Amino acid sequence: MHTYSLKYLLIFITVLLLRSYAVAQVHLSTYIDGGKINISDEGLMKTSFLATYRMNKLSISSGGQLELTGPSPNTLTGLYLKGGYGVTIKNFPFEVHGIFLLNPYSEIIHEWNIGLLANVEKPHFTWKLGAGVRKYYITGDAQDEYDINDVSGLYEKWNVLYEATYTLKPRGHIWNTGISITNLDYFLINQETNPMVNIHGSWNISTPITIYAEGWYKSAGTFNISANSFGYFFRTGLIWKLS
Amino acid sequence: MEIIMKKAGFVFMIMLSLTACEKFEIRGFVTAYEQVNERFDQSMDWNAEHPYREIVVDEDDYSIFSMGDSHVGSTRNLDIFFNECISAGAAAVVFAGDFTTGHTEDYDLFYSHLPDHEVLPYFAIVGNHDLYFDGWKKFQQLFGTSSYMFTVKTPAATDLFICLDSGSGTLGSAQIQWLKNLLKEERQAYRNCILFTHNNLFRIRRTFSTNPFVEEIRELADVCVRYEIDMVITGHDHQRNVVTFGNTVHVTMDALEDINKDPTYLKLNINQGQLLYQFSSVQ
Repeated sequence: MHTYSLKYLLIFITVLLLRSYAVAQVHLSTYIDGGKINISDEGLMKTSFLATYRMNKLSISSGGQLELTGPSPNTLTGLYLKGGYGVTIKNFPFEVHGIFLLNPYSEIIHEWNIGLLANVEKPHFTWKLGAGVRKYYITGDAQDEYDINDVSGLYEKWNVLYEATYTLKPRGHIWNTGISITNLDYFLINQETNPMVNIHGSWNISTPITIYAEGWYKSAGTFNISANSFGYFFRTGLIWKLS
Repeated sequence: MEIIMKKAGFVFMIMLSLTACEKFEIRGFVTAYEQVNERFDQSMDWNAEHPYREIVVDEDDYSIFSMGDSHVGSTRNLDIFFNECISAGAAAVVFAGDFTTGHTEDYDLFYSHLPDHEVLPYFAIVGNHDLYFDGWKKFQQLFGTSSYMFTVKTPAATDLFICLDSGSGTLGSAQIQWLKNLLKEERQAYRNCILFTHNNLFRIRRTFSTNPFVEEIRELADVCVRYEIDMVITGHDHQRNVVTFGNTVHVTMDALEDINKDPTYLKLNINQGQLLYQFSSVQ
């Protein structure tokens, strides 16, 4: 690219960013999970950090998850990237979200997911519906160690992604509580046949800061019609809104 | 409001009909009769009094037959399957779950059709349908355990077979730890290692049948690579499927039940140490 073109492009981007900063919102969030899942007798404790940048109809979120105690031998167990864009069709506003999720579970197995979701927000309800694809793959080091030459990755068939949330108070109220059923969490996308239920509450303690708590329950084999508890965890965190 | 009431009534009638259905119990959507860790403990108690079985064959080549989802009830395909196992000289047979509907009378019917254990050694794993109507108690009375190992010893080598209880959509923490310990201590002593369980690990086709949670699948996929599992054989989905991941072949079997249009069973042939599989139609 020509030097002058590059200079003008940088000026244009800078002006755009400065202009957008006036209308942009940045949300920083951190939370901690504590609980247990049915693959290990050991308790589970994770912490995560998320940042969301919202400008007009566009939003971008990213985050990371650290497993402090739990079955994974890795500490960094999740990376998350989400892009959203507001759309209105025939006076029906909704957001389209694209998700990328990477789970480096162990030194042998990693997993990634991509998904596309429609997100509809009403005063008391949030609906999310979409589809995603998952790939498990064996890391390069493990391929060498275990002499794996051919099939180091496995795609699963596309999966329905969903969330239905009801909140007692309308969106934006100083405190709120509600219930969700979903197969999505920030760093986990379950199969559509493995829903999770959570109850949650939030309190906007000051203008920029909201604290929240959630209780999640995971039931294995619901669609086997022979359900067993798979696990539970409690989450507490805060959101800091920078405008 | 009237429409909502009608829809609610329709859903209620469906749930009521499922409750009364002879194949399902609506309570299973919420909770099973027992947790998998309880069943695993009972299996281990039984195993402590009944050492694992070693099948000794005279030749290096042998075959293991397996079937899933016979859902007895009726026994036409089951009888054909047993006859073919015996006539082919199978070293053993594995029932990979859902061989009954969970009713006591279906367990009794299934058991009455079993060949003599000395003629055809058999190994059973519980599936979700076998657990309905409090079926685990009857399963345990007839077969004792759903989490165990057996081996087949040839003049050349010995192969390890591990049967796992996934009837409730999860192996559970105790069984996973047992599996990992078993593989850590024993795997190197054996040539091939094959796992049998009812639930499919991966969703390799669009289906409403349930898999274990993703967090459990990651762990099991890690175990399969780490301990060089050669094959994982499952039923549950009623439609055959084969996928390879790493050095492990994951086989889903067709349903053997009589109402299936194309019922098959699996022949696992071990020829000169190589694992070869074949789906055989029930004619």
